[in-house]
Amino acid sequence: MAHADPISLKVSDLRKSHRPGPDVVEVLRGISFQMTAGDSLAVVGPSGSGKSTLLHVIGTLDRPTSGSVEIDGRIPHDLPEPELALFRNRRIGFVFQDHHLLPQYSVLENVMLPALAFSCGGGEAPARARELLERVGLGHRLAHRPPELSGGERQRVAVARGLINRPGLLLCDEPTGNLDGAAAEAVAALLFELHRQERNILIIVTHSLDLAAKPDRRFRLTEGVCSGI
Amino acid sequence: MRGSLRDLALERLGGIERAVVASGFLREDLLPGAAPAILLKGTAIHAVSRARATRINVVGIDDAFPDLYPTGAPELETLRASDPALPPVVLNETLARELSASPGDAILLHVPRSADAPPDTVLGRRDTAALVTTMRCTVRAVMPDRGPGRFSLDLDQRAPRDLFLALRDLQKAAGRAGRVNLLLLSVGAREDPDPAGTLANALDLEDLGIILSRTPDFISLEARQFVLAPGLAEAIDSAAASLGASLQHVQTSLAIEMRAGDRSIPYSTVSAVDPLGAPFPGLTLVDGNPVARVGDGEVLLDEWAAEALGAPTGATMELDYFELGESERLLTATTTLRLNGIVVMTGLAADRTLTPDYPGIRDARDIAAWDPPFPMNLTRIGPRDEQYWDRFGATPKAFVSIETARRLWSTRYGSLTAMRVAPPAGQDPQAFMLRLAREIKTRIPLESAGLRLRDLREEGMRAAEGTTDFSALFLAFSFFLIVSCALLCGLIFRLGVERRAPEIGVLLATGYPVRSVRRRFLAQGLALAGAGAALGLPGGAAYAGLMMLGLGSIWRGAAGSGDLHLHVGTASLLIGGAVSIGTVMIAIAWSVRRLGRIRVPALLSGDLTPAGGSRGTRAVSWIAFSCLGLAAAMMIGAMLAGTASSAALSFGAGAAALASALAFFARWCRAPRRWRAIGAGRGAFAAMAARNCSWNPGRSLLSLALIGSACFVIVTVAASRRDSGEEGPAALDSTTGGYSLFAEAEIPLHEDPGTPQGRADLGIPDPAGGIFDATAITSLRVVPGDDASCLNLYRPERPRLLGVPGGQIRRGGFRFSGLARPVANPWDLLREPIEPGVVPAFGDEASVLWILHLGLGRDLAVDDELGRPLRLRFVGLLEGSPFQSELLISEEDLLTHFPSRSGYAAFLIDAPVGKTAAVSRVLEETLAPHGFDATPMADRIAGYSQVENTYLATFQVLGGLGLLMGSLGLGIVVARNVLERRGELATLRAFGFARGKLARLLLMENLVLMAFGILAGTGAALAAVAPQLAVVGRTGGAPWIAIGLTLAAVLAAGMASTLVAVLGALRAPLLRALREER
Repeated sequence: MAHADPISLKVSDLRKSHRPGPDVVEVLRGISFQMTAGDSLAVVGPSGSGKSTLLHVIGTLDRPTSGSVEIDGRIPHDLPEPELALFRNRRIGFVFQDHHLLPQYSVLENVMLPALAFSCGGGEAPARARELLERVGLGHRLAHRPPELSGGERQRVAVARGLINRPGLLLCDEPTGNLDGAAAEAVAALLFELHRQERNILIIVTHSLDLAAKPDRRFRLTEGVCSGI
Repeated sequence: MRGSLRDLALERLGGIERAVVASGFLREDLLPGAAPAILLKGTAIHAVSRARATRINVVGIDDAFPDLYPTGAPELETLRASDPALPPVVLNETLARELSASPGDAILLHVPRSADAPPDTVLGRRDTAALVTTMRCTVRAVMPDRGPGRFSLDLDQRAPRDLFLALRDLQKAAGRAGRVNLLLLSVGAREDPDPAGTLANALDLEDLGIILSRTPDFISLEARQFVLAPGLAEAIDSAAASLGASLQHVQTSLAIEMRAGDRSIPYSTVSAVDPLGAPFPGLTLVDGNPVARVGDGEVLLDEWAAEALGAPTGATMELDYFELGESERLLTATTTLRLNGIVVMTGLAADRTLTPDYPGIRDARDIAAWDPPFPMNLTRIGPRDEQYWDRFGATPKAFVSIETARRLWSTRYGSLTAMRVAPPAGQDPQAFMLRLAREIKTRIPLESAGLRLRDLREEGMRAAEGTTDFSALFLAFSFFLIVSCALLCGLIFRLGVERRAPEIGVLLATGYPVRSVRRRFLAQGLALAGAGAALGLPGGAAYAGLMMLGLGSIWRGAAGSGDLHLHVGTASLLIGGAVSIGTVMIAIAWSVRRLGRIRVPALLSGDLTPAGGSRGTRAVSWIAFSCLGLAAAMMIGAMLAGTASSAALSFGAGAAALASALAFFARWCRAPRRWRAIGAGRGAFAAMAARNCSWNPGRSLLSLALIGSACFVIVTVAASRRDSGEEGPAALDSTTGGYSLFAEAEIPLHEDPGTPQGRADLGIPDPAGGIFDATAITSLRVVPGDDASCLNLYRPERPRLLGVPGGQIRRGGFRFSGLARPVANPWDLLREPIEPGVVPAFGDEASVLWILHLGLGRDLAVDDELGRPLRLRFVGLLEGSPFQSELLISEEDLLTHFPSRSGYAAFLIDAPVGKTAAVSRVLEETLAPHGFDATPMADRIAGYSQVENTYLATFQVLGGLGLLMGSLGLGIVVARNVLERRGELATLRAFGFARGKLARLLLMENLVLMAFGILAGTGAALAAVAPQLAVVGRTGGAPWIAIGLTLAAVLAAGMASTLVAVLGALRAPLLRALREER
């Protein structure tokens, strides 16, 4: 079984503010931490505390107001858009609360999607996607469409998709938020099992205390300030 | 269009309701209250610039004419101050422009000269001086092309070339003092319940061309044209019989020479009188016995002639006489007769009145002073002949039987020079004469006397309905545009419905029945459609106004007039509004019909994703294959039917092919196999694009339909354009028939310009180059009538007819698109008898199909010269020919049914390459008094093609609008799709799909749609035009490169608009899209 490339993550004095109206809202106020391959982290906190924003900035979906995110010693936010897209495609995997599966594609194709973004990586994608779907227990649903799956199944597909390119950094935003207890437990177990197998950095943003208890580390984000790292 | 044509018809008539139109001349005071006028077709030449205008209306008017127009005509008042030496004339703007004439300028005016004897008879004069009157006039004023400035009896939207002059001046020039050929009846005439009866009562025999005189023994009736027409002779026969009177037929003709042995007598008159004897003066033989009858092939000579010839009774003698050959050539013929007796020169043998008073002969002092129209050799005349002339004048020297006379001298104009009626015994001759005149009058149809009572206003209104139903035409070509609009409407409404899916879900969840929800949406749709219609109707009127503006300016070639104006009728608006709302409501109903098929939870979540992938696939497949089969069948049918009747089939084939292509696309979208996995590698990207296209088949199909429909119209129209310059003039089976010039003469020629003798008679010089040596000229007779081509927007009531001579029939040529039956030389069909009252005819395909709305094998009902019904059956249709303005029948048929049409007024000229211009110039210059006007064949055909192409250009605009709608629809679909797929795109971006890559993906999706739409529309268009192209073998004429470039431009424009939409969407912040998706 191939592992993800060894990776390191360094977040330094990360700040993010918005100006939705006349006032500036500081969402993140100087977050700093480091992680290496095989680490896992849970970020908890009340709604609006900046959890998802932190995840998006680390995942290069958003830019910091100040501070930096270094991944393997590189600052991806400094990259131009095409290179940033390639960087994100190769290094970072996402699992969203709403899974964001595309209804026009089959389960297999949804999982393959990140591998199709750059043609150089597409050759082994079908086999890898099948393998991942076998590992998440959906090897028998390859040709099904997302609307034909349950919520838990969809999230498992999303997990498989997040891992298709063997990212060193897997970011999960409330991965069990829309699932009932049993399904949430199953998805959480799957995530950590795959995390161990892939030896990537896993960061989970969650409200769930059960899920938050699983990573090696956790911290609480309150009004943009973290505690308990 | 109809409104404009009606307005033009009314404007040119002013207060004129009816008109009495005479082929000859009538008393100007025939009908009290009528405005007398002379209307002649003529040619005008500017005295200085030599600018020439043919086919002008030369109108001689008196003071009553301006009063017919409520607007008045101050310019015409200037004609009151007459100047006999230099008659003043008033030109309308069109004519003045053509002549570059202004007040004070001198012009030469050529008008036909009226003659009693038809030119194509022995006694008819045929030289230009006898046929044409030339006047030098001064332009007194120029009047606008409005009101009386548009006066014309012709139904044509194009402004006529009008020239007005004082009636008395024209009467003087025509030698017809007190006579007119047109009586115009104003509004008051409408109150007359029996206008034909009123006219008939007012006419006397002289108006009908009969000269009546009384002798002590009988009443003599002669024709003004020297020969009694068959209709007049029948009427006299019948009238005499009804009064119990005795009747005698008289035929007197000219013998060039009578010979017996070595003796001869030149230039004598010969009479046939039947019956002979009481109560009429008779013939008495020298032995004192009366002559009871003359047998066929026998002759009686008077004593003088018998002595001159020295021929005894029973001797054989020869008689030379004139007869008319082909092309009205005067030939000398000879007959042999047996001398059956000699009559004393008393009684009938001394009757000078047997010979009509021929001008040029009757007043001559001696034979040597004759000025006859026929060739005469004065050296033949000796002193004895002069002595006879001095004593007996033109008294006949010989008598033959009426049968012999008919055989030798009968023409289509008649066979009698006089009829004599003797009253029953005891009746007062004067009273009898009046009764006879009355009886004859009642028996002569107006048409037989060359008179027509025309209801000009009704004719104008009827013809204003137009040849081309522009409403239907524009509706037909706007069909796809309308469908596109309806589809776009449905699409937009459907998108609206989809956006409101949660609202619908809530309504259904809270107990609203589906029907109620549908009604709610339909009501909203109705309100929107009503508001849209309220806004759209003025917009539609503005659009129609723009079209009319276009037809009056840049597309003037099609309408031929700048006087077309917008006419918006309440009924049109109401119908348009109702149809628009109805169409939109159907589209909306179609959009909301599927609401009941979507689960409420899906609606609540905003998910309108179709539940099943293969639902309805079978039905769609059935439609796809059925339409394909239908298209193929219609194409084959169109090819078998030939171009003449294949238009509807071709269009149907194209429409079916387009429907089939769309159905196949729908089938592809719905087919389960589309779920085949997207593989890795380069093909994956294209497969993703195709999957995305098929994901929302309704929207994709609508986009396809919009693009496909527009391309269908554009390609069909472009491929149908005619390129008149595709072939040279030499080919016999080309559209020009191998001729290089088409010429027309306003005043017919009675000599054949195609022969050296004819050219010599006409005074046509043949310069040293001998340009006429290798030039062939075919002369055709013409029955004037309405222009039956697309140049005339009015419906032709009486199309112009050409009589095709035997030479042309033998020569053949031209290109046919349809024949009644296959035949080696199609022109032979013109001579094949069909049935009584039916005449075989050719017409140009375009005119027959689109102007007359007839086809091969169908009949056109017309009236012959005598007002009797005649049917022209189309036995051949010419393709792209120069004969679009007229119909062709054989010369024999033309002379049978229109016997008074003498001379040749249309000419097909085959001039050697390089000498065409010289031939044209020499003929036009020499024959200018005849209004001879030659046009290169290619130009004439191009003139018609230009009209067709202009129509096509207008339809291309409609296609362009369809394309605009298609692009707009596609833009909406793209924008909506991108909007809906923001989350999807954001997800893909999150996984590393760069903006450029996503833009390429979206562009590829739309490229697939556009390419398929263009291919479907183009393929369907080719299916529509292929039968036509295959049948006529015309593939080179269509501007394929231009079509290709247009389609490429369509593709480029569509992709550009898509790119704008895509880039706009991808510029949106990624995270916001992800959150909104949540």
